[in-house]
Amino acid sequence: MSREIRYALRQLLRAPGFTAAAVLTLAVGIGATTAIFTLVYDVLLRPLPYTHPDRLVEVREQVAEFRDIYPQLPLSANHFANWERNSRTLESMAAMIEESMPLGANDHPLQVRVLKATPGIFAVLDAQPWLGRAFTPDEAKPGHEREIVLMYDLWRTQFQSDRGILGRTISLNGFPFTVIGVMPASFRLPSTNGLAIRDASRTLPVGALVPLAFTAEQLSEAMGDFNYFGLARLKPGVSAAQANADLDALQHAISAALPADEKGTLSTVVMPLQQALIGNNRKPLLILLVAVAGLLLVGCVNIANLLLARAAGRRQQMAIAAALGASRAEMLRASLLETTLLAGLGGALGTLAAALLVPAMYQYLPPALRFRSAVHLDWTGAGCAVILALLATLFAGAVPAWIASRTHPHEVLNSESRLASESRSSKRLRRALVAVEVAVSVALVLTTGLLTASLIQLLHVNHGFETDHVVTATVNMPSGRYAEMQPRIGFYRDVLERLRQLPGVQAAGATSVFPLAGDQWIDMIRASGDTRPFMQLPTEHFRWISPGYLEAVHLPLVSGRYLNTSDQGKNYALVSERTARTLWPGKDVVGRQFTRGDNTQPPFTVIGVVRDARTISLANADPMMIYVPYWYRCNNSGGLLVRTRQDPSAMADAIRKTVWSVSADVSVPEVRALGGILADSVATRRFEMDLLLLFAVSALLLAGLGVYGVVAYSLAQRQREIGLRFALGARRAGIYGLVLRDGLQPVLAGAAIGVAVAFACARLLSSLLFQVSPLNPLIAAGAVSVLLAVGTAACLLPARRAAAVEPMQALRNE
Amino acid sequence: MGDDMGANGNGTIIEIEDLTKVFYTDEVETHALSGIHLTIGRGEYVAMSGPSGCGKSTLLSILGLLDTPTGGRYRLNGKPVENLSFNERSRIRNQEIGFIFQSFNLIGDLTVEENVELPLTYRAGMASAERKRRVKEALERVNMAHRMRHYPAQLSGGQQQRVAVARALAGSPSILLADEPTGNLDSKNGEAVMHLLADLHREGSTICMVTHDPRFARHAQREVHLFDGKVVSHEEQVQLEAAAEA
Repeated sequence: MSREIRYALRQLLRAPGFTAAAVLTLAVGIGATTAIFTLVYDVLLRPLPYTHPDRLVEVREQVAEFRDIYPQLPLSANHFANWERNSRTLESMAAMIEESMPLGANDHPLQVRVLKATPGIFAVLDAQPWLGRAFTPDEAKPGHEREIVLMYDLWRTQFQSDRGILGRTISLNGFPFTVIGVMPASFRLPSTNGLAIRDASRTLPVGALVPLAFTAEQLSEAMGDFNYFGLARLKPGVSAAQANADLDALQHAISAALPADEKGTLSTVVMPLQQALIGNNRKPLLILLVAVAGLLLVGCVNIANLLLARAAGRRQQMAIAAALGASRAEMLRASLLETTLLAGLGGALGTLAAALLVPAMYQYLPPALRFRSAVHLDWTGAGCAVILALLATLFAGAVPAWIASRTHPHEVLNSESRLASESRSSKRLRRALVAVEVAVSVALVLTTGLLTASLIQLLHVNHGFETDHVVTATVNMPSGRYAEMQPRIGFYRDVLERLRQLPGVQAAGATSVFPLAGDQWIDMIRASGDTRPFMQLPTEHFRWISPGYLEAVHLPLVSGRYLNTSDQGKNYALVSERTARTLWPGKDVVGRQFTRGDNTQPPFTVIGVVRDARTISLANADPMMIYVPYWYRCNNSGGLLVRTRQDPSAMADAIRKTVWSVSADVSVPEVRALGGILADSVATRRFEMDLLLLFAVSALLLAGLGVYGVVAYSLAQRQREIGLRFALGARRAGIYGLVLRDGLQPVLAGAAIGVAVAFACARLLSSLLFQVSPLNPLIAAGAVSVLLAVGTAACLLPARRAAAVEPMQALRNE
Repeated sequence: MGDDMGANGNGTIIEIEDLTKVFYTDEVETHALSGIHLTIGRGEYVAMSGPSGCGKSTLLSILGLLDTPTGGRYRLNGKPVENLSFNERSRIRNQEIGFIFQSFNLIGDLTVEENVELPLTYRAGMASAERKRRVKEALERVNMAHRMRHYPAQLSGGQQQRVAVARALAGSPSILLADEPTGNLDSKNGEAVMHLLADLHREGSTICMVTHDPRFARHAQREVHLFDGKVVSHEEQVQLEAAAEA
């Protein structure tokens, strides 16, 4: 065997070009597939890093009356408390909400993500602090919730791994908190990105855990606000469906007890936590996996083609071996050994590439997919690479080896007088292989084209506002000093006044949520005179804004006027066109009044109607939106927007300094262009598209190489034939035609198959597309044209060489 | 047989004067042909003989417009052809010259019929029916019409060479150039091919054949002896060969 390995190695070294091309092709294919497999495995399949992760579930609520707008909702405090008391299927439960808070009492505090959770969180995740202790139920009561458990990284970076930190008081959100514990280094909290109403902005990892205490008022609300992410651990042997039925029964009882005005039909959705975290990303990830496997397939086909060419070129050698007594098994083994060596080398390089690719890819991962700690290539990934290398050996090497082993010595050794050195079946196979790789490439290019067209459509959809020259800044006020509304109103007013004085600033405003950065506040509203029961009232999206906000984002006025600073203190509101049409169809809206659903607060007067805009998501139709002034409601966290004539990137410092000139203890964790937020809102789509584009370009290159290889090899074998054709009167243009016809036949066949396959799978893609049909004929034609162009380019060089053949020279080389 | 180019009323097809061919490799000049004068008349059967390396195949390549001379003049059917473009030479080869090669040069992927049809496909404007008629006629002349659908691999060497002759005949050329047509055949098949060429000559074909075998050379009307790139008489050739062997 070692002699055979030596011999196979020598054969490979004798053809360094072929060996390098084959090894690199395999390395790219195996590396990319392993990297994507690692990512997909990590996101979709790897058990979450908790004890019995299969027993962890996320719980959401459903209100039948809201289902059209919100199929699922986070939890209401009161309902959660009811389940916690009465559930028979859940071992433990936790409600939680993630917030961004300033840490430290000094100027310019650090902004950290804090998870406020009910004490059950430790039991649900079966985790305990590594240093100190967890908080107790008594510490999760209003007025007592001042304990903090630090995450390991925050403890290490901000408190220098000080083991004496337990019992120390630190300032968080303007309040004193006592440090009672530090979680282990390996512990990770599940991201709350899975919330039905999500914050689409980029989030940092959670740095600390504090108790979530529900107020007596919250616990007495029949419906309450649906604000909390619910996590639970099933009792052993209980399924998610059983837990769902159990909670539905409790919801039924809660529904029955709802007051007449708030009558609603409540139910729950209990789903495995992993499934909840994956959300809608399963299909795109699987498509990526299929795409990268397609790339590997194209690579293997290429190598199979190269090996077939080599097998044809070595028929003489095989014939001599057979004539000298080599058995078929020996010839098969010798041929397969060569492929095994190639696959081994390609697999090793591919594993190395994957080890480098995976962490790099993690950095590039969109927030929705980043719900674990950093991903690294591990034994599962390495195992995948080994399996891929074995499959590649079998796929690429088996047929050429089989063909080589079936060489009939008498046929080869007596075939000198005919102008063919490759059998017709081998030639047909090689063309079929080219058709396969072209088909896969066309499908990839077509899919990429559809996703690209979809993204372009999405980015060019009329979103109704303008992002150019708008800078955004997030601000977080410590709750201690800014617990009441008045200081917050004063802060926004003063900051905006100063921002407007900055050179180049055209408009400045504040808002609860930046456009396309998510959705935070939904409420029922009642137009004056509407007497319907509460649960039948329309649901609207609310945003608090300051004067100057709508001007800053250039959201045009349809009627009435914008807010101005002299309106301070008045209950005015602006509504979107859709809201106006829905609430007051066909009527003049300015001057009309409405209240938030519960009718307990003074009414708002509409002073203006603004153009509909896609302020929540580019892909969804314009929402019904109501803009209320910040002096009616504003939070500790908010966003500033500045429209400037200057270069927006030069504004960051000026904005930070202006904020800190008003209040140094307000943190400004992020200053960025509004265009960046828009780009983030399509980050997942862009990530998928970019990867697919990379695979498609690679597949195109490989397909081009494949066509080139087949044509070039075929022409090298047909030198004499070309010479003869010239001798018989062929012209150069005719030889070009001959080569292009021969080379493009399998390309055309493959392209047709590729389009057919892509169209057959159109249904799978349709949910990922925006305003683009998966059967778009123009994109299909484009994909085919790209392949034809690549195929033609791949044929032209060998064709040129063929057309330059000197007939006498070719005929003399017998 | 043959389309008369019409320029030469005296029946001369090939007219060569002072033809030279020099190969240059790594500062070495090899004079493959020196001062060749040769005329071949319509209907003639000429054999060119000589030892290996004497330049007979080079001369045949130049006659067949597969190669260009370094010097001298070459008139084919009365027209100078030594300085034509590649495509012009292709056209003349296709219409005026029929090649028969030592190794047959049949295309393995094409059937007998397709192989014979091949030169006709390079003639612009020739209808498919006319091509088929000519192919059938050519194959009938060499007694291979019954093997039309076969592939070359399914034929014996002698049969393959007869197909190659049919291919050369199909275009009705002015002259058939045969380069060692029996070189890859056993003596029986070799004789058969020589008889076929003799029959064609009797039917009016002009043939110029390269051979090193005196038995086959004798089938021709006239023998041209080459030695070291020059045309010599038979006696001179014998003396020179004897001197070279000594």
